[in-house]
Parts: sequence; C-alpha cells; structure tokens
Amino acid sequence: MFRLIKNELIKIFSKKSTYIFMIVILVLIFTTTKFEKNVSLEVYNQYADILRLSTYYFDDVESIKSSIETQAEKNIAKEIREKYDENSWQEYVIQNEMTYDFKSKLCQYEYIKVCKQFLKENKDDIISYNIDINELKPEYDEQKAKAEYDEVHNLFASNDWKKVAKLMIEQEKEKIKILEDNKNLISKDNYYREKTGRENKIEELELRINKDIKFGYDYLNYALNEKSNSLINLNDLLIDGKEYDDLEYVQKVDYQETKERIAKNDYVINTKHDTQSEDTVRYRIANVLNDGFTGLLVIFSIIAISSSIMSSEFNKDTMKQLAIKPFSRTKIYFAKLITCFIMTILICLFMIIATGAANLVFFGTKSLENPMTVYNFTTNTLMEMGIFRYIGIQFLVNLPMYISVILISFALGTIFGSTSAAAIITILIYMGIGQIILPSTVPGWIMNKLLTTNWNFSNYLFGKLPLDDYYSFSHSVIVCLVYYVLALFPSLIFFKKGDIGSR
Amino acid sequence: MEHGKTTTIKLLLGLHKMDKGEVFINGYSIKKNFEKAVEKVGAIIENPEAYRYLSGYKNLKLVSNMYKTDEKRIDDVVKLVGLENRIHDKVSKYSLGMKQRLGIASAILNNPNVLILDEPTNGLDPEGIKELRNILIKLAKEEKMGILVSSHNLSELENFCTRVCIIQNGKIVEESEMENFKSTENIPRYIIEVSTTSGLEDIFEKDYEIIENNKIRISSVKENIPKVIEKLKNNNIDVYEVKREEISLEDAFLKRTGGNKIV
Repeated sequence: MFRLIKNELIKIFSKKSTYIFMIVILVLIFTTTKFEKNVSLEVYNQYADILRLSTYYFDDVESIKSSIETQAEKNIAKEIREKYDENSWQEYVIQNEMTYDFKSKLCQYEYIKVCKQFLKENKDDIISYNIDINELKPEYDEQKAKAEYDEVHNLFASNDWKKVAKLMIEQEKEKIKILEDNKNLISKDNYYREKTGRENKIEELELRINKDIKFGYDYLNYALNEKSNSLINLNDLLIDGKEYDDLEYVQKVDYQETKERIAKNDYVINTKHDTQSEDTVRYRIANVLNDGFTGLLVIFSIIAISSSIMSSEFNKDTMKQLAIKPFSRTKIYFAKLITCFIMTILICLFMIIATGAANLVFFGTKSLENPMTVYNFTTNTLMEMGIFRYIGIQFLVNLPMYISVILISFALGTIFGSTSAAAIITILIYMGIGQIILPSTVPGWIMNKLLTTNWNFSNYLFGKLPLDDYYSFSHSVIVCLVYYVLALFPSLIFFKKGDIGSR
Repeated sequence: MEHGKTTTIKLLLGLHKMDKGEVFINGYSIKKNFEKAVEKVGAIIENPEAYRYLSGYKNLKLVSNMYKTDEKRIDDVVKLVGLENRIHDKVSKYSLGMKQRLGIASAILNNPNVLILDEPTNGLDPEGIKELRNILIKLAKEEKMGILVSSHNLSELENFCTRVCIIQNGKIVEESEMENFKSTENIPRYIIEVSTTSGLEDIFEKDYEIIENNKIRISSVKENIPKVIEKLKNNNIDVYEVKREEISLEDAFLKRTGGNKIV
C-alpha cells in the first residue's frame, strides 16, 4: 500500500495545476494580508474626519446650537491634535474619557468663540429666518469658561497623565457619593449598574496608575477597556445577586466568554505581552486553521483533492490500468484515501507557512516573542502555550471536520466519477445546505442534531460550553461517526464490487 | 463490432465481475487470489491510456514503483519498444502509435508471462501496425511471453498469431494451431508447380487436380511430399514450387462459425 500512496503523491506533485493552485493561494493570502494591514492603519486615521467643518442648518435655534456645539468639539479635537500629538494621551483623554469634564470645559469656551464668529458671519441670514440671536448665545460666563479652559490646558501641558487619572478617580468617588445621597430617587437596577460601573472605572484607573499604563491607543489601553467592559457585562449578568447556576444557557455562554476576556486582558495588563491583538504574525499563524478566510481555503483545497483523486482516474480512463495491477481494490481505495489525509496535513502546513510569510512581510516579527494564551473554562485559569502546540490542538479540533469533508467528497467522487459534482455537493453540505432545503416546519433542534455544525469540536475545547444547549460532545462524536460510515462504506462497496471501464 | 471481446478480457482481468464461472491465471483464481493471479500478467485494455501530464518515463516509473523493478528494466523495455528518443516527452505530445508502445512497455515492465492485448492495432497506421507486430514477435521469442490478442482484424492477426481460439455463442468452437486452423481438410493439400501436366495420370492416378496451367493440387501428409517430388523427377517432370494450400484466417473463421456471432 505504501507504494501506491507514494505513486499518488508523485501524481499530485507532478501536476502543473497543483503548483498553479499553490501560487493562487499565495497571491490571495499576500493580497488579503496587505489589505488587512491597510485597514488596521485606517483605524488610526479615522479621526481625520473630525476636522471637517459642520454645515449649519437654519431650521430652528436648536439645530443651529447643535451645529455650533459640533463645530466647537471639532475645533477642540483639532487643537489638541495640533498642540500635542494625534496619538498623545491628551488626545486619548479628550476622545475617549467622555464621562469626565475635561472636554466639556474646553468645549464651553470654544462654543463661545464659534458662536461669536457664527453670529458675525451669518447675521443677515439669521434675521431673514426670524431667529432670535439672544437664544443662540451661550448660557455660561465667558470669563469663567476661559478660566476652566486654561485650567485643562495647563493640566495637559504638564504632561502628568497620572495626575489626570487621579483627578478622574476623585471625580468618580464624588459621583458615587452623590449617587448614594440620591439612592432613593432612582431605581434599584440603575443604582446598582451606575455604582458598579463607577467602581469598575476607579479600579481601572488605579490599575492604570499601578501598572504605569499611560492613556493612549495601544494594546494595553485596549486591554484595560476590554477588561472594564467585561466587568460591566459580568455585573449585568449577575444582577440582583444571581449565581452562575441561575443563569439561562445563553447567559452561561456569555458568562464564560466574559470571564475568558477578563482573564486574557488581565494577562496582557500584568505581563505587558500583546497576546490579544489580531494584527500580529503570532496570532494569525496560530489561528490560520480557524480564520474565516484561510480556514475556508484549507477546506476548499481538501475538497479539490479528495473529490478528484478517484474521479480523475475514471475520467481519464487510467483506472483500468491501475485496477489490473497486483493490488486489491480495497488497497487502491485506502491508498487514495490515506493520500487525501496526508495532503490535508501538507495543505495545513502550507497555509501556516504562507500565512506566516505574508504576515512577516507586512507585520514584522515582534509578536513572535509572545506566548499563546488559552483559557481553561473549567478551572477558570489562563494557560501559556507554545504556538506549535496551540496549532496542533487547533488541527485536532478541526480534524473531525476535515475527515468529514474528505470522506464525503472522496465518496461522491468515487460513486459519481465526476470531480465537479463531488466538489459542489460537498461544499453545499459543508455550508449547511440542509438548513436551506429542509422545510421550515422541521424544528431547529432536529437540524442542529443532524447538521454539520457538529463537525466543529472547537465548541468543546478546554471545557467551553457549546453555542447551544442542543449540542453535546458525545452527540457530536456520534453525528461525525454517522457521516463517516455513510460516506465510507457505500463508496468502498461500490468501488470493490462495481465494474471498472464501463462508465 | 460489438461482440464482447473487450468484455471478455475485462472479465479475465477482474475489471468486470462474473455472474458465474471462474478464471484462473497462472494457477490462481482471479476472484479469490486476485493479486497473485495478475502478478505476472501485463495488459492493455481498449486504449493505451497513461497519465498525460507525466512523461513516458515517469509513467513507467509509477508502474516500476508498484512492481519494485529497477531503472535498468525501464531502460530495457523502453529500448525494446523503441521509445528511447521520446521517453522523456510528456504523454500529451505522443501519437497513438507512441502511446501504444508506451502501453506495451508499461505492460511488460514486470516481466509477465502472459501479455493480454485488446485491439492493439486500433487506430494505428500500416507502419505502426508493422512495428507493433515486430515488437510482439520479439517479445514472444526473446522474452518467452504468451501473448493473448483480441481483435476483429483477422488478416492482421494472421500475421503474428500461432494459436487461435474461436468462441461462438459463449462456447469455444475451436482451439488449435494457426497452421492447422487455416487448413481446409484433415489431410493437408499442396499446390505443386510443374513443367508439364501430361503424364500425371500414370504417377498419381486420380489423386490430383489440375487447377491452372502447370499447377496441380494433391492431398498428402507432409512426410510424403519428398516422395511425390522424387516421383515427378523420375518421370522427367520438373518441380518449380511446392506450397501448402491455405485459406485466409477470415475464410477459416466463416467456415467454422457459419459467419455469425463470432467472438
């Protein structure tokens, strides 16, 4: 059988189409990586839009006031970016820490300036629209606004971000005090949400100071925000003193994922390793088999080989010569099938290398120093893992799906003797055609019991709850085995017992 | 003509399943011991198909891998079929004749003792047919190979086959040496060209027939021919040519089978 497998591999690697296919995949991977690099750069430039001027609508006083406010905010954003830097901590505070009054203090004074200019330039229009100028004038005192404006600028100019963070903590504490004083005036839920939200914020700011994480647009700030948002979500889930066991299934899944996010972002904050960013070589190589694009390329490549390895012998009439060699048909069948499995491993390796090369070119090597982190849902702990071990685990959880795809396309290619029919039907099955062609009266749980979502064992990795309570590990194993048996045995019997050379 | 020749060969080689009956090759059952049965068999069924995207050599290498033969054997068979100059070209560039040669090279790579060829001259030009005939004769003589050829082109078979098997309505009608098969009677007949036909009555009495000027037909076993020649010489009749009378294979076929349902 080894000799047959060797021959099958020689045949595959002697075909020009194999190399054309590899080149196409390489081009696709390099092109999409370049595109993703450009997209990630655009994120940093999104604030450029802020600098555009507003259009004034003279419909009513409120519209004009709103336009002036918007313009004042844009002017402040522009001023901060010009004065400090577009990625400075000052800019970050102005754009992201909305709940604090730094921005409002700057904007109040800017509103007065914009409003004056507006009234001067549009006096005739305002009169023609019968709008009362006095209603547009700001309600606050210009001198007081100027003083507050200068106070914020002095604070920013001192470049002491920790002082700003401490001020924020003080503000939050004051707001909690006010909340306590007015506890009876608001609902219990709102009180609880606001209080825990502010407490979380204080915790975040203290962590920022302790871990020396300056305000900014880097992965550490992202991790702090993610952790903070996750804590809010966790509080929302466990509102009214609920326990994990009291939660609905969907909420339990949400709870698990939230805990995972908290643990992973905690790791980033504590170790300062950028393990969460998706725009890194390490992340992309590690997740090449799960990625929507490269994962699909792997599946399509497997289908292309498995559906053609048998059918092309029938189409080109070479099966007759193969079948009269001193090897039983069972050996020929399994030699070709095993070749498909070997090719699957080679395809995965090729995808990893191609993705790695493309990402090294566009994203650099820095991230390769970081370990992979994996969250154990059962023990609620985060594990460090080498990248190759991580990829190996990802391969294993995808393996049931790969086996299904190989067996179905291989079986159809054997029975129909047509590569295109085998490939198309397999793709349709993979994409869950059953959900489309089965009548809508069939309950969803039946579909979920039968269909291909059960192929994906990453649902069960490290004690994770599957997406729906219809699924269980043992059920998915059984569903996969049923698919394997249904594909393998009829096609093997067909090939063993059928006449060759009469199609 | 659709008489089931190819189907028969496919049955022999296990490509088609048999409803009943059994095929033994080299003493092994094709049903029960397929791998042993075909181990020393080479065959080309219908067209000599090969992997078109590979060179002739790589195609032979694949076969060689299966039989564990060495590269010297590949070179030998390539030489034997006369493909040395084009063996490294892709099969897609081969003519039908070259594909046929490659097919034969592939079929004999494992040193078979039985070579089965289905319609080997199909699509070949006269030159190609002649070359193929020479290769097959060479294989039979030099490699001591039994060659089974299925064909409807009887005049072509006549040139290189030594044994004939006629199957009619699923039954073997006759199986014999080509020479005997083409003989018209049980006792062979000979055409003798002589200087004159006068005085022959005294020598042969009534056991001869004048078929044209100076040519007579006699019935005799091979061993008596020298005596016949001697008698003629003793009666001052010169002998120019003695030839065994045969009919064509095609005529012999029609005679044996009545002209219908020949396999």
